[in-house]
Amino acid sequence: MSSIRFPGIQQKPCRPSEREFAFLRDRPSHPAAVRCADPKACYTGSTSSSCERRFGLDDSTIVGKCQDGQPEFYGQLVDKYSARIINLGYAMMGNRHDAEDVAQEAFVRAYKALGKFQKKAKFSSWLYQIALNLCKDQLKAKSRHARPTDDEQLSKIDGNPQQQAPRVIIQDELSGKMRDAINKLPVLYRESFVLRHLQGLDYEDVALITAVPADTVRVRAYRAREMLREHLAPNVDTFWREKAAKEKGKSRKDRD
Amino acid sequence: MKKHDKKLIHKALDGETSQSETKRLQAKLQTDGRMRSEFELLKKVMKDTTKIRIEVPKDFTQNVLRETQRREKPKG
Repeated sequence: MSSIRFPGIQQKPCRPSEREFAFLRDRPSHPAAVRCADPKACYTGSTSSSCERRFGLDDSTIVGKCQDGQPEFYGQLVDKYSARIINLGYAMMGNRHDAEDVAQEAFVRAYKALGKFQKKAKFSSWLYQIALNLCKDQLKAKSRHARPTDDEQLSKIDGNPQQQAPRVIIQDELSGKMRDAINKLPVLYRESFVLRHLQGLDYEDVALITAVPADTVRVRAYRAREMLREHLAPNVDTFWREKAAKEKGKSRKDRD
Repeated sequence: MKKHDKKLIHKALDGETSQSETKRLQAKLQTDGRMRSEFELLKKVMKDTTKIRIEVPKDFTQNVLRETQRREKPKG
């Protein structure tokens, strides 16, 4: 193992040479084989994740390796899907703490059940299913013991309301209202909307995950959009009015 | 607004309109101000919802792997 050197690999893990690449592909726990450095790219739904680009391994290969007794490969799947699953949890649950809990539990349960996973199935759909079921279970429990949303938690932090804010990428007034509006959707509409529009899945995949026909998912997503529009219209109108006023003011300033 | 116009708007937002439907929608949007503002409003709502996301904690993967190992250990 020590006969191969990796100059600069720690600093630039994405570009190993062909020889290094072949070496690292089979040794994901090697210090040089740093895991996915680009979860954002994964989140935005690029067809080839940075893990695949770096190691050339697709999901079913990684799952196969884990099933064959190489659990160290599982970290690559966690890296690849963590942003998507955490954000699924965030949209479903409405607060960061629950989102992270649900995501971690989903990955742990998926790992424990990998032995039963059929290679013909799509790992991502299966993982979404596990995460979504966990969300629904938590929401049921939550209806009995309510946990405050992020906005409620932030308003309770005395003196420094920004203390936890940096990890929420968009934290303006409009997005807070938007999140509240999503949280007010009935769970069945919410899951269809979130999977289709926030996760960018096609209707067939959403149908598979939620175990209802694709046309039912379409109707639920439609109703969710309508409800959001009705709920948010005054806010969006205000936002537009302010935006238009700002632009008007700016163009007047430019003219002067 | 007519029900089928509303459905057409949603179909377009979903990226599921055919070529002829897209043309029909474009023509409608040019002549019908109310439909245009409804379309723009929904488009804006959709755009804003996709902005809501959180970052993954830096140690998330490590925590997951640690937890899987912890639960694998035999009790006792």
